[in-house]
Amino acid sequence: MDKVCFGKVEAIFIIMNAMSIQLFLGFTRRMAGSGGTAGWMIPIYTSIIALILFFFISKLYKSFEGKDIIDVAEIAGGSFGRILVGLIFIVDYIFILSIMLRIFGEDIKIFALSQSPLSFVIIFFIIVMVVASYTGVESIVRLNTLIMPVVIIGFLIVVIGNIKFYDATNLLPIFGDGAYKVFIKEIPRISIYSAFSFIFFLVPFIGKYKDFKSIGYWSLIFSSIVLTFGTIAYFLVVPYPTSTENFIPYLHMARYVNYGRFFQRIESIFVLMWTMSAFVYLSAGKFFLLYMIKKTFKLKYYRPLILPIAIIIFTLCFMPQSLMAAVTLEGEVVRRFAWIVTFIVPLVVLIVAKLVNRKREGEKSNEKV
Amino acid sequence: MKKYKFFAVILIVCLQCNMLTGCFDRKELDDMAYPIALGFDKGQTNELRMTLQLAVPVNIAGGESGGDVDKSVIVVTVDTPTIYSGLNMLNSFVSKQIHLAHIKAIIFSEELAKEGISKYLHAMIRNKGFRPNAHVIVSRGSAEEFIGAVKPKLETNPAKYYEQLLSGYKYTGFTTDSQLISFYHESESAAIQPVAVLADVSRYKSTEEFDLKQSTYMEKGRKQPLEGDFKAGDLPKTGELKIEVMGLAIFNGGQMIGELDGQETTYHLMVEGKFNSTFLTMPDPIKSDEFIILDVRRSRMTKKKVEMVNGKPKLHAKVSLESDILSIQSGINYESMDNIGKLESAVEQFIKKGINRYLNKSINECGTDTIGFGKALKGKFLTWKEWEEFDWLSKYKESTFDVEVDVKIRRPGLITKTVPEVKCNKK
Repeated sequence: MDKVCFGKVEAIFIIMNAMSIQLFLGFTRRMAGSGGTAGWMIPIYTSIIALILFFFISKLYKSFEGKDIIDVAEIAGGSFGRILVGLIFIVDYIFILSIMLRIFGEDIKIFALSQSPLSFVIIFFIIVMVVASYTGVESIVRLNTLIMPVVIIGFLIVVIGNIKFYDATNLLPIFGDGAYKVFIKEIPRISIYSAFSFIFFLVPFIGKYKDFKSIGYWSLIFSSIVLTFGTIAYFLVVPYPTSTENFIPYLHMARYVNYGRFFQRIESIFVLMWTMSAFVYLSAGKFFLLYMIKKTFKLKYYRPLILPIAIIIFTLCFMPQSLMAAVTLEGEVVRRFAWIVTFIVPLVVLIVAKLVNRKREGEKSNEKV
Repeated sequence: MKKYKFFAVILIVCLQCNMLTGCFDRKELDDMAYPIALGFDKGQTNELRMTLQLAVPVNIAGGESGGDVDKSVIVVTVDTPTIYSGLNMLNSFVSKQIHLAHIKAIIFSEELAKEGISKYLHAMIRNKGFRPNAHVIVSRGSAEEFIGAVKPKLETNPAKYYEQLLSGYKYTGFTTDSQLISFYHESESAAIQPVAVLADVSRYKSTEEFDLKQSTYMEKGRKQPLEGDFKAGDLPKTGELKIEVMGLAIFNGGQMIGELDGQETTYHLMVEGKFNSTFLTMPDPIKSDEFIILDVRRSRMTKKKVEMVNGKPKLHAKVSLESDILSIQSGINYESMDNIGKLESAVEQFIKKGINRYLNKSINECGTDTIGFGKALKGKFLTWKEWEEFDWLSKYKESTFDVEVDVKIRRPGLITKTVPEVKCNKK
């Protein structure tokens, strides 16, 4: 599967989708809860921190063109390094995917399929994930490129459709819960960009270092624009503290759209675009998880793992007792600590690998001398 | 390989069959009953009396013969502890399952609204069935009686009837757009408080019963009432249309604390910035026993500002309007360039006086900021904690105000001046 190659736009879109999909879940509510009326600033400054971190990561990655993070870990720490880093990412992805799968399933149950058993709803996501894993990364990425414009149009319909409810005073007082709370205590919210870790496994498919750099920067910039813009739109419509109440904020916004007797009830469009986006996100996540397992344990094929891993994710997603428990896990664990795996682990791995490389080069030159 | 493909195709076909039938959540449109209005009163045998006005789709469509206006709705009432237990009870005798997604009006009786309706609002917002754009109405009498009296005569579709009835504020200025979601947001806001449309069943059975005891014209110092000097239910009117929608119910959070009549509602809309247009009747500035009627519209968004003077809020509002002349009963040539300014300043004074009276009532009687001056003040605070500690809704009661009204008369209608009538003076 390493021979597959796709363009920059496709790569940017798949990372963007993975990071921006939170907007259709509880992201904006969480921002309101974290910063009050100033919650919209959190995706801006955390994106700046993420860009700075990526600046260092990209600098370090220069010497590892075409290698994914597990390859780099092998350079840094041999088999032990490879397995350790691989396991960290595997656990991280299994945890996030199972929680997200549960939340997607529960959300659909809340507003569309309320009579259907949860397992019945989730099984459709699992089927898509399994089929997508069989077809491979290329089909997932290219399908995502087709879906993204539709999702963006649907998103804009919701945002523009709510213009008559916009009230700029909803963003006041400007510092919301206070500058310290917003800008210092909420720094771990950089985890909202945790899905950025896709890039470390996309490397073999995008080839050149230059592309890696621009994909990283542009996906972060576009995602932060979408997340900030989406949060501001929600805040303009729903005043604080009511903005902390809505379980699926963008579903509420979609329900508010009402122009005359014809243009209303557009949440049906929202459900469609949201589900498409979730299908691609989960499929991509599952594929990269399989890819990690294959690389970590140096397996020849990944396809025999597709069904077992799907069953594991399916089983794990039922571990939280309730939707509230799953949402708490997402908000307080994933969106607070996932940055460590996304940014810090790669940074450490790259620094160690760089040092090891330098040491080896030094040894080689000594031998020549 | 061929064998696998065959099985894959079979599997996909089976899955498609499963998915396309809708499975567990399958609902047939004609298996559902659609309430159009939902009313709440205090119950006699239980906490709540819940009244549903259900649409009868066969009588709305009516086939080739057309819809039957009188039979387009049926009304059912139950005493129940809560909204959803009431729905359960109703579902036990209404043959079809009740589906809430077409409710256009949610009516609370004044008695219940004065006790507080927050718990009912929360229950509605939590449920995906209730549409956020349903209108919140307060009935001065019982909600059951009000819903029973709703007999759409000009419209066979009851849902459309409510939509049109409640959007009338755009050209009357006598009610407002009190959508459930706005009402809910404002009931939880520390910067603005909610209002709901005031409605009632007409008090009069025949024209002989007409009286002006309930009109608010006397307290405004007028000799006779103008069109907005009434609240719903008090209008001197009879006819087949029994219900009236005029004025606003003022809330403090989720609790009703006062009422506005039609004219006060117009001034409320003007200051709030939601005013669209109305026919304004005012005494002629020269011949005070004659009327001038204008078609008044908003020309610019109302500018609102709040200053803190000696620890007390001072409210500033600048209302900008434009109007066309509809009638000058005195025949005085106000259309001329010499007189138009006099008329404009008389209109400004008339509206300003009304707004001052309304603001006095809002601050001193009701004491709740239903206009949203608090929104203009929020920007002066840096953090939410400071804003909460400031406690605007308590400070509002100590406010003074200063209103500026700017009216420009743009058009004289289809005639440019009033030529006095000519009549024979010989007896």
